[in-house]
Amino acid sequence: MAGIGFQLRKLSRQETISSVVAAAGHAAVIAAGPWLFTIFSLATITLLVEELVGRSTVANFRVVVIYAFGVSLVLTAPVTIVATRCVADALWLRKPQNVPPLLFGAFIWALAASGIGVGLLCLIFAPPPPIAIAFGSMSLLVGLIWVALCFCGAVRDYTGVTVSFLIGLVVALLGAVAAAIHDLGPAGMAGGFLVGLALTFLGLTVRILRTFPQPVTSLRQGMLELWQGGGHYWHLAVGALFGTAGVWVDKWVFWVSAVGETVEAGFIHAPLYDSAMFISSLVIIPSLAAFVMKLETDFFDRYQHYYATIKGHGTIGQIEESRRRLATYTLDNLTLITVAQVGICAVLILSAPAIVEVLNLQFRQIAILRFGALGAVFQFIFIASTSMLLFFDRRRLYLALQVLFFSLNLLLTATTIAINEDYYGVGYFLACLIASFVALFLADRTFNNLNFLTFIGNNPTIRQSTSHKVDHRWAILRLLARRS
Amino acid sequence: MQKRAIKDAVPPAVPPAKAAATSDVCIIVEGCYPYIAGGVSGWIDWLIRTQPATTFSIVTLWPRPTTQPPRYQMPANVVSFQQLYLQDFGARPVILQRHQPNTDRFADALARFIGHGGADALRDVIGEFDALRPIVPPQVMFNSPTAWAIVRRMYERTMPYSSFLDFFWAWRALLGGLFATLEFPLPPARAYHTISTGYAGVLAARAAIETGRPAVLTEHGIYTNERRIELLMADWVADTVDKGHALDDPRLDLRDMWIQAFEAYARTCYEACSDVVTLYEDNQRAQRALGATDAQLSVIANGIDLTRFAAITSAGADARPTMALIGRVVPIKDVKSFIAAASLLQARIPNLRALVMGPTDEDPDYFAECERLVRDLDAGCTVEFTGTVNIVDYMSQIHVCVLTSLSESQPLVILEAGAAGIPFVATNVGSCREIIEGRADEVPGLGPGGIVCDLVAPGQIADAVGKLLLDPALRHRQGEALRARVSQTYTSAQAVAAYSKLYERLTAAPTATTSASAAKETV
Repeated sequence: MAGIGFQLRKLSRQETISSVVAAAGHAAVIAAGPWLFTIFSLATITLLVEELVGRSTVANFRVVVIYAFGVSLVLTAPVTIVATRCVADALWLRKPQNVPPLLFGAFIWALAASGIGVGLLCLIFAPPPPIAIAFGSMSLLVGLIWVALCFCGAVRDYTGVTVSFLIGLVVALLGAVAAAIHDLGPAGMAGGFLVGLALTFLGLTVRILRTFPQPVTSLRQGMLELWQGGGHYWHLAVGALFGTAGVWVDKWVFWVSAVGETVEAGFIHAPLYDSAMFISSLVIIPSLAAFVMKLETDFFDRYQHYYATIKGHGTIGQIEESRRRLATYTLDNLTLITVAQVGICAVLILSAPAIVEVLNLQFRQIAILRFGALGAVFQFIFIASTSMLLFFDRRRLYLALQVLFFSLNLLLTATTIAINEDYYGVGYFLACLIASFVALFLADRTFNNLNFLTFIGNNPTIRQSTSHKVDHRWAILRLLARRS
Repeated sequence: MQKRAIKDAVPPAVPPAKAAATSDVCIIVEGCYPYIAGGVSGWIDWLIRTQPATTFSIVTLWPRPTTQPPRYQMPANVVSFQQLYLQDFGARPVILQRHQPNTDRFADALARFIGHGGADALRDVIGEFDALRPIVPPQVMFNSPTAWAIVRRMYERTMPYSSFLDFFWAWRALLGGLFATLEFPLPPARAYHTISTGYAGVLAARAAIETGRPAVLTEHGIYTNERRIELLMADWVADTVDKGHALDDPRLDLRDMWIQAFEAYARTCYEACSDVVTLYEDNQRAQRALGATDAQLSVIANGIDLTRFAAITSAGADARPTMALIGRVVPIKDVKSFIAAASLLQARIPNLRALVMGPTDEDPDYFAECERLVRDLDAGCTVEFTGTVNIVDYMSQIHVCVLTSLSESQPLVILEAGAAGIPFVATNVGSCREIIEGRADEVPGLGPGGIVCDLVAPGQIADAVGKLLLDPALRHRQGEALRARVSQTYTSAQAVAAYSKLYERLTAAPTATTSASAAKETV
């Protein structure tokens, strides 16, 4: 008999959740790490050659490196985070042949993004040609490194990352110092530094291509896929842009304030604030490393166990038990690492005067160093909490939090500059404090509501099937209007 | 919101929804009219066109908004057309909800309703649903923490030992359809006529409860049976409870939950409808089993237009002996049994001709198998596939008509053969026996109009056809008996008259007291 009844089969089994989102969570942590590499190498170079070539040359070199790393990190952040998701998707779909085109597609987008930044900054500051060339090539190269780094992260090749960076770091330091010794000026030092960076880049790329030996069939395919991915994961892209910019914005505010100085190369900076903040932010390294390690091992096991329980036809009791274990474990560990971080921070605060003396800093930087270290504690909590949100695909919250941190850091830093010098660094500290509390609160809620979020609130199947619907908020507004 | 979505999706060939106009009869139909041609859709088109004095509104239940063009032009007496989407319920998910109402009573009412059904259970569900509506709009509720509270409570209450993931999706599919049905704005009508149980039946039951106007059901095939077969065959329903070999395990499985829900919907519909009509008596067993009473039950058979067949003369005794199967060459018609019977018979009746009259392109593989069987049985000179033909042209050459189907409801081809005075040999499916041998209450008894055989029994078919081919007197007697029965019971005019009588009675019936109207009166 024709007609009556529609197909039931389509209703029941639908894909629930994919574990690919996990990769983006990793990336958020890893992305926060490498820029510390910059600070460490800069501090070392300064210490090694300042006596030899003079303060000004080193300052010029340092500003070029800071600008190159800053502009490329901020502008390629959307490319790298989208690429991470696309790679994770490709691997989850068992299509490793899609990875090399994605890599080269991401390279091109990263070059374009950094290129735009380089062009704008050269127009604004008009550096002399040798400096402009050094700055431009370093920005482009570092942008490529961020991309390669995220591909290594997506396939969890941490050994490759570490080895490539260590070799690159040593060569970069040697190159810059050698250039300094031969009196080649800031551009020459940057050139020497570039050699090391190029090695890092090559090392990372070779590791990736060895893991994915498939030939690159079409460059356009990779670029197109990333472009579409950007449309799909725009929350991530914009969130990453604000996230990285948020880390830099307090420095930018200082640069354009009265505290800022212009170096011969034409760029502006604020060494009083910058150097203290860069050093204090190094204290975050041990915590981040510990956190990534915990993510990789115990957290990830529990995370997967949770979804396996659901997919493996678990009862709600079993699912709830699995959720509880995941939540308790994660929050316990976050607390533990934070306590350790507080300890490190305390050491830095107490030893700040000694550090200032060893590093040839000014006495008035002690307070900035201390506020920076305090802020770093909370910045760690912020990074950890927001990456947790990505693990559970709460992209909107991730974006909102990054915008919040950016805005807080911008406004509070501007406010503290306006008050007086005693408050330098307080803006950053308060921004970290507030943002981290909000992020932690939301991460905690996410863990508590995880079952509801997984099945209904954040279920991609339901989201997709209702995406064409009129936004419910209007319905609620109408309802309220009717009531009042 | 719901209303707008409906208006947007109405295809251009359909008249715009004139929801305010009160019609005489509101037809509620699930999953066919006007998007699928033939079968029940064709019947609905026939019904509306043969009741020109009656105005109709139509509610079509369809999974989700479609761009499919309608296959039927709306007749002029259709005053409104609305679509209800069963799998499209729910607004975008909300995560934060300021007011979280207590939904325990609602969840319990729902569990009772999909677990057992009945008009009272539906009344409770509607009451709780109405109480929640001002707090949270149902579309929003369905994808909100409130829904989560409901699904958890229902799970704990009904099957806390089973896979929650599977329960969740089944729950969404079942309740999404139910909520859409409860939330749908009913078109005003003097009577509600549903063409199946299921969600259409629930909507009709709701209409009866809320408006106090009568509801009636015409069931062609038994909806619950069809869903049951579909579910048993479905490999997508996980057997989520490992019952091992323990046959008396009382734990409810997901499959059981689906079947229970459809039975509950049917029970509710039967209880709420004043009349439960079907095409033939055999269906009434299933309807009784789910609570329909004898007072509600009646049969209105499909009829045919006799004039088309009036001029056909019977095939003469001197013509080539011819048996014919009129139907599509598809497995459900079991054409192979027909071929086997023909090959058995060709030994006894020389010069036998066996026609298979119907399209051969629907299942090319099966057609190829049939052709191979013809060759293997050496029946090439006997069996002939005519393809699609006008059967009226052939009827004067056919001595006996045959139907070997594995499943039928009320096959019109028996009526058509009867109208032409050709006796019929058919398997015992659907209403075949009822048409060939007459209903139990047939007065006066007209005698058999052919012979009924078992399923997949070529030997029986061959014997029956042989008997009729070799005995012209018997053939004539049975052909005439079938002709008499068709013209007495199975004419289109009779079906038209039966429905217009039914509609007249229902539309004139007084409005029953509903809880809403009772409340109004006390105020």
